[in-house]
Amino acid sequence: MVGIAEEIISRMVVASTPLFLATLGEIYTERSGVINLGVEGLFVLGASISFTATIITGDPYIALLATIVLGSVIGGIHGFVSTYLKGREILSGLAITLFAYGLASILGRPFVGLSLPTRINLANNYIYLLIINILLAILSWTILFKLKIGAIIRACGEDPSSAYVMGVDVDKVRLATTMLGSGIASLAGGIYTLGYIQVWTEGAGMGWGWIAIANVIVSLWNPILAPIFSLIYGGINSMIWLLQLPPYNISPYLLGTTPYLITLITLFIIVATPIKKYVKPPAALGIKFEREERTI
Amino acid sequence: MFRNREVIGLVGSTPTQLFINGLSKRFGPIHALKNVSIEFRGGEIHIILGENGAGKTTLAKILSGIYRLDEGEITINGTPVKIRNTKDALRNGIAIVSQYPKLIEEMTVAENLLIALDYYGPLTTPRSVIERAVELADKYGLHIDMDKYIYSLSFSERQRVEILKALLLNPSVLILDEPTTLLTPNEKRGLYRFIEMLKQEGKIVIVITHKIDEALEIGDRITILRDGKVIVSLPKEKLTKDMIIKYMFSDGAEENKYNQIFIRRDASNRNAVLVVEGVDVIDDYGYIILKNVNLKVFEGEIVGVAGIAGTGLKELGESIYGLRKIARGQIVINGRSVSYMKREEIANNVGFIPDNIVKTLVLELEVEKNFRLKKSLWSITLDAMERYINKFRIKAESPNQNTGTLSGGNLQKLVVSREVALKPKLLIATNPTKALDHISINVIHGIFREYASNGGAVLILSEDIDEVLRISDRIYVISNNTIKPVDSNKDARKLMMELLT
Amino acid sequence: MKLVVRRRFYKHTYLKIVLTVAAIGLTLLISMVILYLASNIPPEDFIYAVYMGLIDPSTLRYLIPLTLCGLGLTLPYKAGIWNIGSEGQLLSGAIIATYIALYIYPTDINPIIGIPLLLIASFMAGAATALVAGFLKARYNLNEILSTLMLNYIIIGLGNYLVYGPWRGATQYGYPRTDIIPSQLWITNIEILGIRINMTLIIIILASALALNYIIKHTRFGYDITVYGLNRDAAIYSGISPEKVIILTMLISGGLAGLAGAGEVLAIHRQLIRVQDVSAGYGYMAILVAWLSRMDPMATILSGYLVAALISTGYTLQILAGLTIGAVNLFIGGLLVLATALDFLLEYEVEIRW
Repeated sequence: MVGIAEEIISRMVVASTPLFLATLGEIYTERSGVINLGVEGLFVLGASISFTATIITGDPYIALLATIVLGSVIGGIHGFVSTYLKGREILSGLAITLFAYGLASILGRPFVGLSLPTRINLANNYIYLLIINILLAILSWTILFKLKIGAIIRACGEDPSSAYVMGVDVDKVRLATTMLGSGIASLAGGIYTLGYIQVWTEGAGMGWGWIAIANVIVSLWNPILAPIFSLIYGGINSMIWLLQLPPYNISPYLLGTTPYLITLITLFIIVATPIKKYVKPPAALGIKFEREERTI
Repeated sequence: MFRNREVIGLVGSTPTQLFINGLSKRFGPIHALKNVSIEFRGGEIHIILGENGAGKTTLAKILSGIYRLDEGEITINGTPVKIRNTKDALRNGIAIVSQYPKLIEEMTVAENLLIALDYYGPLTTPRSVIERAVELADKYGLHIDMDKYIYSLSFSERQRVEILKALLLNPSVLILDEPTTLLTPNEKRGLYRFIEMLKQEGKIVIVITHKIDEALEIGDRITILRDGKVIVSLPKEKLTKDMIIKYMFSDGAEENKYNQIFIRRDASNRNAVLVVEGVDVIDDYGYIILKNVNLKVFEGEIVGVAGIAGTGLKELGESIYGLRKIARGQIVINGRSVSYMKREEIANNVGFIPDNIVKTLVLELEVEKNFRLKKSLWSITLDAMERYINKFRIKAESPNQNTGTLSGGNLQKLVVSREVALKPKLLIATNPTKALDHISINVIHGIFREYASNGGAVLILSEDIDEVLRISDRIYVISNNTIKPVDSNKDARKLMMELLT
Repeated sequence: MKLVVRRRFYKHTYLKIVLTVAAIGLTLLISMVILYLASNIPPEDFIYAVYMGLIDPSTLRYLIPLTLCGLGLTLPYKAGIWNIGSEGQLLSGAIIATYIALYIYPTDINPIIGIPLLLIASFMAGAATALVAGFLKARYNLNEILSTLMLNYIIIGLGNYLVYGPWRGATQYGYPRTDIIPSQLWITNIEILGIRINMTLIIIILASALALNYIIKHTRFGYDITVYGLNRDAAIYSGISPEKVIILTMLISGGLAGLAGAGEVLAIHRQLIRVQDVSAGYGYMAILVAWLSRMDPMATILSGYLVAALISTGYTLQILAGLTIGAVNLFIGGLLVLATALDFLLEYEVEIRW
């Protein structure tokens, strides 16, 4: 029995890690006032690149590094459009997702069906993984809420024009956090393939980024709370498939909808119960910083 | 981790010279500043004086890097400097205390100070700023709790934070934009002392104001702006109040502004259009900002409520217009409780001019489309619309002109004209003449009067005491978190000043 | 050198066209380079594929669902409500149309009653799906982007469950698809000048475009939508009901996507197949269709054609170079991000000073 319990916990932790990381990245981005719907595509792209790069280089860590760099550069396009160019960030984020889907498909194509030369074994080290995740959550909380750098990031998300008067280069900060969040999202996708599913097929990782964006709300934009729903979701996502076996025999397609259903229900609980008074998105989330804004 | 503040202090304390040469700034079709050249000297309090819309704040914002200049040159101590953003300005020792404190509401005082201070590295904590800040605050008698969130502070406390921030920045040029608007006489004296100290240290102190008395009281040199141009820049000794008035206003109409020559009407035997009973008004953060407000407006009268910005004036108006929930009491318009009225019903029966009129305009659409914003004006004829546009002297080429290309004053007049065209029983106007030239002010006040004489009820909520005095039949003042009536027949101005502060 | 940037309040139509064309050109150029570097596709093959995409009659086939969904999105996007759920709404329409045709109707149903009722039902199914998100937004302010996305996945799962499970057709040799719907319910193509066109659906598209155009430009509701999208404060001040705007725009957009779903079933597949084969992401691509047209319903037909041509190009490349259709997303995403970026020049005038 201990073995099964441990198995379950280990799967939960491993499956939650990509979601947790992507959420963490997006928290930084949204705290500075930018919504990055590109997270979804960058996760998928990360899943693809890390796989192909590991096969090409033979070293998963070099592959992950490449993943982070490419992810932050492509996410940087979204960052640039939604800060300096004052573009509609919902659209440019979606565009990055579609673009990254396409790129992931093209880059991964020749490697479908191949297997990884080396594996990152997360399942056996799940305790360390859990500790690292929790430390990352605490570290991010400290950065955002206890240090000057975090105050600057939050200032851009709360009141960019006051932040600007205080000498903060709002667009630069927002671009930086968008690139950071994008890099982390790609890394999360990389860990998803290298450490969790360990194969790559077209479409691997699709949907995880959306869940991460929902998880930012569920976590109330607070890194400390990010692991909670990640673990629940990770648990469900790794366990639910067992229900297609006898005696349950539930359709895998139906089971596939449960993570989304649960996310939607969780979001509903957050906004429709007294919890909603803790839902305080950054005041300037999604609002462009216009330097010479016209008030009258 | 951070550079020694004393070193910066030494740099800052050398007497400074700041020249601006040929400065121009355009917003769309509006020339806010035209070829402005001014010389600022260290150890001098330099007043920039002008009417609303003269370009004073634009100048301040360019110097502090908030706006970019279109043309012109800025020279500090003989070297031309480029001020592309606020960071450049701060690096060149230029700091600004804005008219309305620019602080992050959701953060503590210490966090706000930390963000603003360049010499603290990104990994410092708010703790590190507190010691120095408290020390300075004590020295200058600015008492603020460093761990309080800005949203929980009163306006004068926020102003203190701004001043403390400026002190910590230790700039060689300090710009104060209408610094006394929100201050009590006591706080004002404190501020003047502080300005005087900076001056003794050889710094340039630039004070932006439209108050002539203030300019003469504290200034060493006065530059008068009008329509974005420098009219005169002279030592105070060479100017008299009369001269200043002449320079500030193109004709003598200004004196009229302060006359209170009309006969106040008594409308109390008529029907009450608006009844506010025992209302507690809440602010954006759920705090009660005004307690137990009782107020009536009768048919055919103008009631004025005067108050300092940030004390609940705006919130009172929004509560009556149904945009804001009230904590207690009831608001009745034409015998109907506002809390039972649909938004659409309120919108179409009550005229409302908010503090920030851009909130009721769609700048991307045509003037005509903006005029039709409220449903009951949806099918107004173009002729009728043009009559209003002409009556209000709105400078628009045609109803098809894009609204965003109108000047601020014309936008203000557009909103007022629209709300009047609605022919509501009740008209609520928040700072209706803010940023208007005196001719437009006269036009708008005239229309309010005419409106009241035809039986309308007008509620003016204004930060401008003179405006309230000038057109109200009855007057209230916001004081100590509630509103108090003022006997308008006695020395109302003095009474109001006392109550306000 | 110095750049002076100023906000524009008047948006020139010619500029919209120039910028859109520029975005398309740049996207094709960038895609060509990426495909050359990553998949070794020679530029001339790419150019050939684009050319084929533009003239291939099959482009018209993709135009129909894309334009219907895109038309639907013009209203919510004008109001700044981000319905990303066209995909799920389309599939709801497809599922309901199949269900009624196979399981409710008598087998000898008269098509004159049968087809219109199917179209109405699928409109309602799409609208109902969108309204779940619309209601959650209007009542609880739940982010519509996330709710519509989640609903997409839920409906995709549901659709696949049906075709793999209870609805799997007895005559389909075990393939995951339903039985064929009665042939009198098929919406058939007619041949005009050698090109097969589905007149019924084209007429529905034209009628919807005209109706939406009228709503946006000439009705108070259209004006409310515009105001709500441009300045929410102004909408609230003037008594425009956000709930009404949210609910109605979502309803119409979901309904049109549902119609597109019925069209796919009745005119193309004649049965419900795996959902990823019913819609190759038309619902997502429709976002680009609506945006390229700047939410102008008449222009949506043109942008629908352009995006359809990109899909055709993708299929040609699939044959030429062995790419999967997923690669089309590269063009769609690239074009969307470039169009959004170039919008800067529409919103701001940039003056270069030396």
